[in-house]
Formats: sequence, structure tokens, C-alpha cells
Amino acid sequence: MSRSATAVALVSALAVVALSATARAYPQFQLSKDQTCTSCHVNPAGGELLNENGFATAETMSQWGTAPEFFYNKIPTPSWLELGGDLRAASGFDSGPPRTAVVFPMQAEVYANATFNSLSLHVTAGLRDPQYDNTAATLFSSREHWLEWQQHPGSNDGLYIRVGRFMPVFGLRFAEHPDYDRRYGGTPLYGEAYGAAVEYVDPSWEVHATGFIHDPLFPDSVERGNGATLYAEARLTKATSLGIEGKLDVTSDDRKEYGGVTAKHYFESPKILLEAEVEVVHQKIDVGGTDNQLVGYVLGSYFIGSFMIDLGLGAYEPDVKVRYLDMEAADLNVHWFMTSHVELILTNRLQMLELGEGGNSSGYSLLQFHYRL
Amino acid sequence: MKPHFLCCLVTATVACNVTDDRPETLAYITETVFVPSCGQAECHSSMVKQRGYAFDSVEAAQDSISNGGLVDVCATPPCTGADADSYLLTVITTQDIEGHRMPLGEPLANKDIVLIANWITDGADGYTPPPPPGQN
Repeated sequence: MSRSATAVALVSALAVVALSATARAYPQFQLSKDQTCTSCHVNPAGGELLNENGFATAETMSQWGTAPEFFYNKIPTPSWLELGGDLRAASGFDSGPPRTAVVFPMQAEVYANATFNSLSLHVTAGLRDPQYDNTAATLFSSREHWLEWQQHPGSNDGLYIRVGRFMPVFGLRFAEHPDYDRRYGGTPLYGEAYGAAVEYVDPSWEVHATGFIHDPLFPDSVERGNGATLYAEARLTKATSLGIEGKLDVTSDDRKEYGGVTAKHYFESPKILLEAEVEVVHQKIDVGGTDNQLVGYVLGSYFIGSFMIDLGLGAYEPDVKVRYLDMEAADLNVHWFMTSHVELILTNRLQMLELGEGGNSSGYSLLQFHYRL
Repeated sequence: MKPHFLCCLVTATVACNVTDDRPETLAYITETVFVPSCGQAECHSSMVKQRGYAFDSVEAAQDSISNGGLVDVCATPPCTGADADSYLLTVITTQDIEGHRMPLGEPLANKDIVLIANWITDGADGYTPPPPPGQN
């Protein structure tokens, strides 16, 4: 390909592939670092703002340390207020066709959490994927905002009640939204909805029950339905957990019922964490037609120094009664935690259709930069 | 090229001797093919509406197909050749006007392409084409 053709392809890709993605916490750290998400995060479901233990983990596992607090603790905040944020961008190659170089922003969001005894107010706001031809009106949004009551203020366990806009808690909740258990398994990118959640977290078990409705203020939101989710997880030992999950999602066009199981085990000696999630999805289309889907994802994570190496295998069967619709994916992601705030991630995916039957394959290789404020 | 490709797909599918009796309706195709493959948040969701198209609900798919003239249908099915003349089929089998096959980087399963082609040929059940110019 000539230089000019390459330039055209790149510009075209920049224009077309301006996709972005928010990212969340790493469930790989549960069991390998501590027992619960709340051990390191303010959010009872994990993700975003860190607590003291989270800061310590971010510092100790990174290559070069640095002060892990918000802006290196250079901007003092009152004790009742915690601030944070995430910036992400990625660049690499997509298999196409045509094969293209891609560069795109992923996330630019700030978080604020104000706590007053048992009550706290959380807001996540920033840039989002704007709507085509409507950028000015849709570039900024608050993806999450909720009011929370916590039974044991300042602790990492007990009862939590949340009301507001957030992602209904369901399944393993990997950070990478292309993972099949997220994309096809009920927790898609921008899948936040208004809801009320009752959550109980204990070192040996936790349960999250959420009722949700689609966003009445923003009818174009990704979650189009009303429903409920339930996720319960028991830590059988300090290294093993089992979970069950269920979700009902009713839209104006269809009804989906999700059910599944999760499992985690951490092998201390080789420092490998295995996680698996399997779901069955029953879909009924209002005007006629049903299908039963299978979604599975297995992830192995190897921790070595400041690196975390993920090997994931996904499988998706969109309709079990029709052959040759299956999709399979293999993911290899290498995370390098350079400092308490900077992470580089090399993400690679090979995706196949109709594995072994001659279907098309595709893939990408991206280098992602992540800066935590 | 396109008819030949579709013919190969149909032949390959039939050769598998597996019955695909999924409903050929806009609602079914939208909810089982368009939504999971095209209507992802960062692509053709109503939230982002890449290039003005959304495929994350039946209503959005109807509007996008109609406004974009993505499907050619005839008054009396079978609409022979309508699949090959439809831009929707072109972009999922070869490329769009910018040279990209859709869904970007993640092709549809051959059987889903055949389902969409058959739906168009059989009259695109559930889809309401725009009125001819001058008949609004």
C-alpha cells in the first residue's frame, strides 16, 4: 500500500472507528488481592474510586509506585469528599476488511463521592460517544449518579442501598466490554439504567438485588428495558468463589431472561486466577419467535511483578437450535501497571465464526493508555 | 459478484442439511441479528447513531432502513433480485461507500446474511417502505 493510500485508510478509520468505551474495575483482583470489591473500591459493586486499601494496592503492584491518591495528593480535598477520574485512549490495527490503523478515545470521566455519615452521593460525569450529527448536545453526560445509604459507614461490608443511575449488578463484570459475557450476557457498554439496589457484602458472601427502568430522561439510552437483576456470590474458601445470577429485561420489542453461574479460583503458588461465567438467555420476540442463547467466557490471569497477563476464551451461541451461528473469541491482554496512575494495556483479539466450519474470522490488536487521576 | 456470493452462501447452507426456520420478519431479524451485531452502543445504537443509522430497536431499524433506502422491495413478492439491489446486503457482504464491510471488523454469520437476503426477497415482512416521491 502506498503512503497516500495508507494515509487515506488511516483518516477513514479515524472518522469511522471513533468508537469509545468506558472501562471499569478489574475483577481479576478479587481473591488474588483481597476478598471483595469493596476491599479496594468505594462502590459496593466495585470500580472507579479507590479507598485506602485500593490506593495501597495500586502503589505496591505498580512498577514505579508514586503517590496513588487523586492528583498525587497535591490537591487537598475535605475528608467527606473523594475525587477521581479515568482517561483512556487506544491505537492499533483492526483486521477489517479493509485492514486499518485505528486511533480512538475511550474514556474521559471524573468521579466525585461525597459522604455524610451513612449517606453518600456519587456522580460520574464526562465525555461519551456523541450522537451522529448532534455532537454539541450529546458529548457530555453523567453516566452514573446515585444516592447511597451504608449500614456501616467507613467499613467495607454490611448493607448498602442505592438509588439512582448505575449499572445493575450482574455477573463477573469484566472491564473489557467486548468480552462475550458482557456484550451478549446482559451488561453491555453504557448499559446503565435508573434503579434501586439492595446489596449486602461480607468477606464470605455477597448479594446484589437491583430493580431498574430504562432512562426516562434520555430515551436513546442503551438499556431499553425495565427489569431486575440478582447476583449472589459465596467465597467457599479464601481462594474459591461460586456465584449465581439472574436477569429479566423487558423492552417494547422483546423479553429476555438470563440465568447463569460464575466461578473463581486463585492458585496461590503460580499466581494464576481462573474465572468463568456461563449464561443461558431465553429471548421472546413480541411479534413472534423465540430463541435460547448460550454465553460463556473463561479468563485466566497470571500475575508477575507489575504485569497482569490475561488469556480469555469466549463462546456465544445466538440460537442453539440453528447450527453455524456460533462465535468464538480468544483474547490476550497484557497489562503493565507502570505507576500508581499509569497503565499500558496491549489487547489482542482473534474472533471466529462457525469454528472449524470455515466461517469468517476477524481480530484486532490495540495498545491502550490508561491514566487514573 | 454479489448474486454469485449469495448463491454460494445459500448453497453452502443447504448443503449443511440443517433447517433454519427462523421467522423472516423485521422484528425478529432486528432483535436477533441487528441488535447484537450492529446496534452495539458505540456503533448503530440510538445513542450514537453512527452515520445516522440505528439498529437497536425495531422502530429504529424501520426508520434507518426507510430513511437510508437500505432495502429494495417489490409490491408483489417474491422480489427476485431485490436482495442484490439492496444496500443493506451490500454493506454486510462486501463494503459500504467508505470501503468497510459491516459490522466493522466482525462479519455476520453466513446464515444471518442468508436470513436477511431471504427476508428481502420474500417482501421484507414487517418493514414499511417509504411512500414513492409525491405521495407523502
